[in-house]
Amino acid sequence: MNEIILLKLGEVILKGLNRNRFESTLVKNVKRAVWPYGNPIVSDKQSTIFVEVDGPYADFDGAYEACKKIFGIVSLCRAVKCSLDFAELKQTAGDYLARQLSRAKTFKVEAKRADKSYRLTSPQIMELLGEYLLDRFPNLSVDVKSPEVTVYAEVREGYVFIHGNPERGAGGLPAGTGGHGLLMLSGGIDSPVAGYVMAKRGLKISAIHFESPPYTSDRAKDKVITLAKKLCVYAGQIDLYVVPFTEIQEQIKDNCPEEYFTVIMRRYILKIACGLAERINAGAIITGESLGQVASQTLGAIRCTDEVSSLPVFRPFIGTDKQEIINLARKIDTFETSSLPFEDCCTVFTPRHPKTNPTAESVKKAEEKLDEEKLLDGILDRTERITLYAPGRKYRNISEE
Amino acid sequence: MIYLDSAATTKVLPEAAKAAVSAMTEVFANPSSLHSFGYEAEKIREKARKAVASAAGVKDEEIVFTSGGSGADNLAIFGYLKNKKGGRIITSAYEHPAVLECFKALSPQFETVYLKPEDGIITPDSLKKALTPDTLLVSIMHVNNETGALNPIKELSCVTKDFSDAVFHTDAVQGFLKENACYSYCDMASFSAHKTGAPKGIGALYVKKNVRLKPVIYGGGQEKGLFCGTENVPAAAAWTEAVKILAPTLLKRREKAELLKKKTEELLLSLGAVIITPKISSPHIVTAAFDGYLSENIVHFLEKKEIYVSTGSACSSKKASATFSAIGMEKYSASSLRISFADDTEENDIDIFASALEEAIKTLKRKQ
Repeated sequence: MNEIILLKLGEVILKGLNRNRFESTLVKNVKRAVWPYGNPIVSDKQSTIFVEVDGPYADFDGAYEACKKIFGIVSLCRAVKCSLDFAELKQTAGDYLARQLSRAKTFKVEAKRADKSYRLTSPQIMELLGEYLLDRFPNLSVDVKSPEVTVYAEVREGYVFIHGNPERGAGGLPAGTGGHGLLMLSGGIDSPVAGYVMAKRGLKISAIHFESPPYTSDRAKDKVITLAKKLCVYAGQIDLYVVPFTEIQEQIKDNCPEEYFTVIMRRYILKIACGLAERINAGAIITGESLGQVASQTLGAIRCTDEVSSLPVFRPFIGTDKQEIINLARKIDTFETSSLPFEDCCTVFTPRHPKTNPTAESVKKAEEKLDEEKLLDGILDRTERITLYAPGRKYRNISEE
Repeated sequence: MIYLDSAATTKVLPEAAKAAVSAMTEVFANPSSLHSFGYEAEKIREKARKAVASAAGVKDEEIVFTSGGSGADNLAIFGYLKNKKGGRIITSAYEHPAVLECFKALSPQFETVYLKPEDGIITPDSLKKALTPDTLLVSIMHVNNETGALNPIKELSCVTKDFSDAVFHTDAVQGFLKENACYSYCDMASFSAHKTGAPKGIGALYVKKNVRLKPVIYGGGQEKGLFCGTENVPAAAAWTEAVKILAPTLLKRREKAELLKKKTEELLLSLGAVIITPKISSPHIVTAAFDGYLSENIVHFLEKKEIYVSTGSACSSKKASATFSAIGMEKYSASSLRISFADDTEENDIDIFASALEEAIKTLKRKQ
């Protein structure tokens, strides 16, 4: 059977003069998402993207699942392409949707004609096809208001697409159309999800991670790489920057009062992130902070850290409960990886009683013994860049990885 | 030597053997060790997980390594049914003993149903009829090890989901890396390394994310606590290499096997054999019976010429075969030969085998 995936565009079509740029990025993203499941044949017409997969290892189911994760798609469905011959059309519709129709109680038929020269009008198609299906599936009755299954017949030039109920797509805007953000990726639960929601609004994502060997291990670093890779499924290619942070942390421990360790560390993290963001042309910093979740995420602490930032800091979860974030983490498949029990830089030298409500003056006083210039000197040059992609072509072509 | 018994086991690929040696002598650390040397070993293991998952069309974290195919089958069946009280469990009458014996052991607590194949195949319709609301588990093999029958596991899995809440397991030991299948539509699938160019002693169970299993082997928490014991890193290293070489060539190898199978079947027919292998079958296996002969005698005759084939399944050669009774071919059980091709089997090998077989039939007939 000649199956095809239909992707309906969302907000993209409202973008006026910029629509072309959005659409071409989206088509590119679709190709990249489908590629692991066969050779993609993608075309774009009348605010619908048509996707076919070709090649000996083509996996249509896999391609369809992948399409559900593409931002900028509001709904999608798998359809079958058949000829204009009405007898064939009826037969195909019955066969193709047999599984859904034989289990449903109510249905209706919707017909659309892009090709107005077709010999049957839309109401005629609906009537005749509906009649045939009623006959073939005795369990069905017609309900035009809220049917369990809607059978769509879309007549285009030269062929007809038949499909059932469309599913909701990932929504949002095509990744990479809304500027460039630098995500602080700690290895915890919140930060990858923060990257996900900002990518959904179209941001291209780069990520920054701070490592403090020997207090943190290679396993911890690889955990972050795994998380970033999982994010690539949604956000596309991600550059991950790994900053050597041991010396700064040791200096803070030696020279600052214990209850200020975390807030001072976060100020340094943000300074370095802003420096990097400028270098790579990112316009915002993204963090997974949620107000009051831990001592460093109180309003006072956030004020103290934001003070050193030269860029807007996006905190998509500032008003979100942990459980909601966890639910999203499960959805994007990062929760299990995030839960692996390795130390990260945030848990190294955690104070016993962190200051929950620091003020700018007290923090400045607490960090005055540090030689900031010396500590930050050349740190970006010692930063490692790792370019990550979504998992490659699945199934047989493992050698291509 | 002409080795026509690849369904029993295969020669380890040189690249795989090399990887195993390196993991034994160089990166020999325990993957559970905290130090970076241990982590090196863990990475080797995780690479194997990735390779196997990729070839099976599933996610990395859905692969649990086991001691082999039987270990995987036992984990799937006992692991899923542990703590469940009563209900129906369904399998086919011609499963590998690794599944059949599990069902036998569980038959006091559960209602066991054995589906009969039709034309050698388990049909979705017959499964549909057997499904009840209290069915807990269905286990149908992908490729039958004795006849090569190729079951429509995708359809079987869909029927299971459509008409019950049961989980669908498949013993894919003879299908993995041989059939172009994606196992993600099943709930569980068992694989074994040694059937395709890797060493014995390692296998894997694919477990879909939402399927909850209980451990079968308890211990130090390896493999998410489901199959404990220090990980067999050398075997995993070898398996990675085998998968890397064999997965991308699957279709080509399959095409070649199709040709060999066609030729073999023709030659066997010309010698008066009855072909047992059904029409819908794996191209790697041909099973045929020579009525009136004891296949055991033929095997021993051929071994003198360094030609190795099996009588039915290597695992069940000592007992009457469940497969043959299931497909209604009991009378051929003792007279059937299984010829299974390796990747390096050439047409010429089949010619030599056929002429030796012809000789066997003549010689052995005289002895009767």
